[in-house]
Amino acid sequence: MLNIIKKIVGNKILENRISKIKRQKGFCNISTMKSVGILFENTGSTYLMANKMMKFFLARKIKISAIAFEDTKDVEVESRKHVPSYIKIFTKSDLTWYGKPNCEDVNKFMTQKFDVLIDMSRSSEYVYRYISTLSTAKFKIGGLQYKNDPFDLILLEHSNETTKFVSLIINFLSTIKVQN
Amino acid sequence: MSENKNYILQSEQLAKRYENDRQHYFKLEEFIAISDYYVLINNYKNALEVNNTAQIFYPSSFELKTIKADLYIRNNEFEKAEKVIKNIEHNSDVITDVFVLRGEICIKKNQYKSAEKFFDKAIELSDDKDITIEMICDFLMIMHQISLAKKYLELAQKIIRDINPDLMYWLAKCYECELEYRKAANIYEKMTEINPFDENIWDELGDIYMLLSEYEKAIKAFDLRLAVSSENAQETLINKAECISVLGKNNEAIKIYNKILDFEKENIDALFGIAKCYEREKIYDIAEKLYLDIVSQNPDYVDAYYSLATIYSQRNEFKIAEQFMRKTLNDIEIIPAFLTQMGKILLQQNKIKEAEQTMEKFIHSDSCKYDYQAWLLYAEIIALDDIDKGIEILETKYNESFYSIAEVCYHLAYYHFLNNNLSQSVIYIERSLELDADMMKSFFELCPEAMLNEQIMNVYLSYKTKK
Repeated sequence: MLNIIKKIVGNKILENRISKIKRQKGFCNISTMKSVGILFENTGSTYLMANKMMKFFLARKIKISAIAFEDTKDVEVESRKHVPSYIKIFTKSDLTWYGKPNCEDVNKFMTQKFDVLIDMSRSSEYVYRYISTLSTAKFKIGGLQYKNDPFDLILLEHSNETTKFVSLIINFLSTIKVQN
Repeated sequence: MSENKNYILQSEQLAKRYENDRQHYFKLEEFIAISDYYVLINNYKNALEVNNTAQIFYPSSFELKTIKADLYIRNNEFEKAEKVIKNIEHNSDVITDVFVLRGEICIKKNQYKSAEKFFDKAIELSDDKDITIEMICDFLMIMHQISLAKKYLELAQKIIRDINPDLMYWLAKCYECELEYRKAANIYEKMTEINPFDENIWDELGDIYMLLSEYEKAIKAFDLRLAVSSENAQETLINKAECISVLGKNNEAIKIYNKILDFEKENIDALFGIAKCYEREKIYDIAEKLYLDIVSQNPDYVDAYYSLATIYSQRNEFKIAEQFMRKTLNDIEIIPAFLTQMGKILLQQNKIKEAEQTMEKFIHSDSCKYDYQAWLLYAEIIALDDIDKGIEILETKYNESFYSIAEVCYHLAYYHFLNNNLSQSVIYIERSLELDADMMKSFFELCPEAMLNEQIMNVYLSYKTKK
């Protein structure tokens, strides 16, 4: 019962917020983009893949900002020692009772007008849906199609392997031409 | 090869006799053999002492004087060497040696062009060109001047009809150092034709086939080695089993390893081989247990730490992997593959500064000099922060040692492309295509946006059309 209430309240809040979002849409590729926002779930293997993708952007001098959700409550400080400053991690303790992320880093991430937002989570869970939907990025890429998804482009990778999904995104952004 | 071994053994025995009984009478060639032995173990002080004693018995020997000058050079006593050379240079019998000695001094002083001139002259004047080339190359190999040694050994191959097998062996070793494994294999093949009963050369041939990933040929070479002699053949058997394992026949390989263990219970290499088989079969738990057994038996067995680190990396347990990798790095001897693995593990954890410092500490060691994978990673780490510096590092190494390595060329093309230096990128792509066109795929993986670049695609397509 509580889950249903959480869902109803969450969706209601999201609907309200969407109408207030001002977002300028646009498209760019790897040669023209200047900033990218990356959203991912902080598990060992996804972190590695996100890291790989971020190195790709870093090498091209594209400004990165990443936000990662970790499905835990306790944070091990030692494990965060070497996380680069452009990656912010939030946990379950940063969520409200109905699942809305309630922390400064996430709010900041959502208001940044990235050229491209990449949602690597490939999940329709509320926390990811909330951030992707309310992000003011110009172009949004996701990996899962769901009702009212916020994406301008969905890249489906059926094998469900994060490595392949990352390659797909990189190849797409690198090889698509932008008309002036 | 066996003659060489015998000479070393005899020299060692003579040196022992000399140490026990200084009053003993030695022939001139015996004194020289003793001196050679001390040079071999890098004890120049004793070698000089033997030379001085020998000169009391044979004061008119120019050979001893030439050797003395050579010893002074090796010991960096150039003024003393010059004095000796001045004393002997009037003698036409040793004029060749004088040019060699002067060349050696130039090498020690890093004056390579002048050294080449002296060596060229020495060879030109020499009546025994193979002996002169042997002298020159012996010195160059000790000084790690592999490219120059290779030049003279290749010359020896061209101009000497019945070339000394030692020179052929050195040439093969030079090719190995410069990663020209195919050429090294050709030499060893020739050597097995000349002397099919030399088990060492069959071993070398098998090893080089392994480096070329031609495992079936390697197995054949090892079988022939075992046919020539089954004595001291554990290492050959281990290498053969390794080849069988790489070919996917792990059960067969384990049988060979167990056979070795039946004879020699403590053979840790065989145990390691078995663990590797399990690792290849992806039975990681057993492999891990065996590797842990190995390091508990022998805490210096670095390959086992490396393998443990690989297993933990695969499980994304980088912290433990790093701990094991740390045990493989020491100041005395660095295995380039280990350094590369350590760098990667640190990078995976985003410990970029630490990765840079670790690479910086070890990359300049002699063992890493020709390891392009280690240099590629080092340049990649540096380029993360400063792409110009990354390019400079890789370009220097490319010009020094990696001119014929396509992967390095493609990486340079990639970095120049990222650095908006298209003309330079295109030059490296052209060179890479000449070296290995199939690797262009790897370039596009690194740099997919280059597929949109007209100039790069034109170079690539025109190359493909020509072919």
